[in-house]
Amino acid sequence: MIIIGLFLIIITAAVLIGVGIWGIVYNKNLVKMLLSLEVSFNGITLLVLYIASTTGVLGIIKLGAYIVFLGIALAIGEISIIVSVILYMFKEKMLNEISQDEVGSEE
Amino acid sequence: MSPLLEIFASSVVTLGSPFLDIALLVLAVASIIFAYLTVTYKSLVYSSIFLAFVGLVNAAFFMILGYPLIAFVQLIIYVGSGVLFIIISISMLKEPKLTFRPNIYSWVIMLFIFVLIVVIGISVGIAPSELTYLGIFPAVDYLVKYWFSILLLVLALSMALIVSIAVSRGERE
Repeated sequence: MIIIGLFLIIITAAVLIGVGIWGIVYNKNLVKMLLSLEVSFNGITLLVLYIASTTGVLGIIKLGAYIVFLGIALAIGEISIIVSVILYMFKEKMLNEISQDEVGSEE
Repeated sequence: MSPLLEIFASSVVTLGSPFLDIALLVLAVASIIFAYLTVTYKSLVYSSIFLAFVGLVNAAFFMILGYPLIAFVQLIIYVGSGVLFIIISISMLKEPKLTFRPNIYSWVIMLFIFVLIVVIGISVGIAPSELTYLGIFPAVDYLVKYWFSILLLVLALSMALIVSIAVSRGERE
C-alpha cells in the first residue's frame, strides 16, 4: 500500500524553495538568479496554498488564494521589469556576460 | 514518541485512491527534477523552459489542493505570459557565457532552508483531515466544458515555445 500525502507537498515546497535559494547563491548569471528566484516563488506559493487549505492563513481559508493571486501578479511585474533592465544593459554593452560581477564595475 | 514525530505521523495520510497517490508522487518528483534543471542547466533558453514546466506541475498541485482558479491563473498568466516573456527575451540574445561559483555556503544555506521549511510546514499543517482533495473534480469539469479553449491555449503555448527555440537557434548559427 502506498502511503504518501500531505507531507509530500511540504517536502516538494521545501525542496523548491531550497533549490531556488541554492541557485541564487550558486549562480553568478543575472538571468539564472532571476530563474532561481522564480523557482523559490513557486515553492512559496505551493506552501502558502497548502497552509491555507489545511488551517487557513490567519484563520481565513480564502485568504491564501488571495495572497497567491496577488503574488503571481506581482511576480509578473517583477519579471518584466528585471528582464527588461537586464536586456537593456546587455544591448547597451554595459554587460558582456549578463554576470553579476560586471554590475557596477567601472569598465 | 516526540511531539514532532507525532505531528509527522498524523500528516502522513493517503489520498484514498492509489491513482491519486501515484499521481501526486509523480508530480512531486517531476517538480523537483525540473527545478533542479532550471537552476543548473547551461542554456538559458532551456533553463527558462524548465521553469515553465515547474509552473505547469505547480498548477496541477494547486488543482489537487482545491484551488482550480489559482491553477488556471498560474497556467495562463504566470506560465503563459511571464515565463514566455523570459524565454522569448532571452532567445533574442546571443547565448551568453555562463559563470559558476560553486561553494559550500550554497549547500549549507539550501539544507538550512529545507529543514526550516519542513519543520514549520509540519508544525502548521496539523489538521490534514480538513483537506478534501475535491479540487480535482472542478478541474475535470473545466476540462470538459472548456476543452476547446484549453486546446487553443496548449497549441498557442507550444507554438510560442517552438518559435522561441527556433529564433534562439537561428541567431546562434
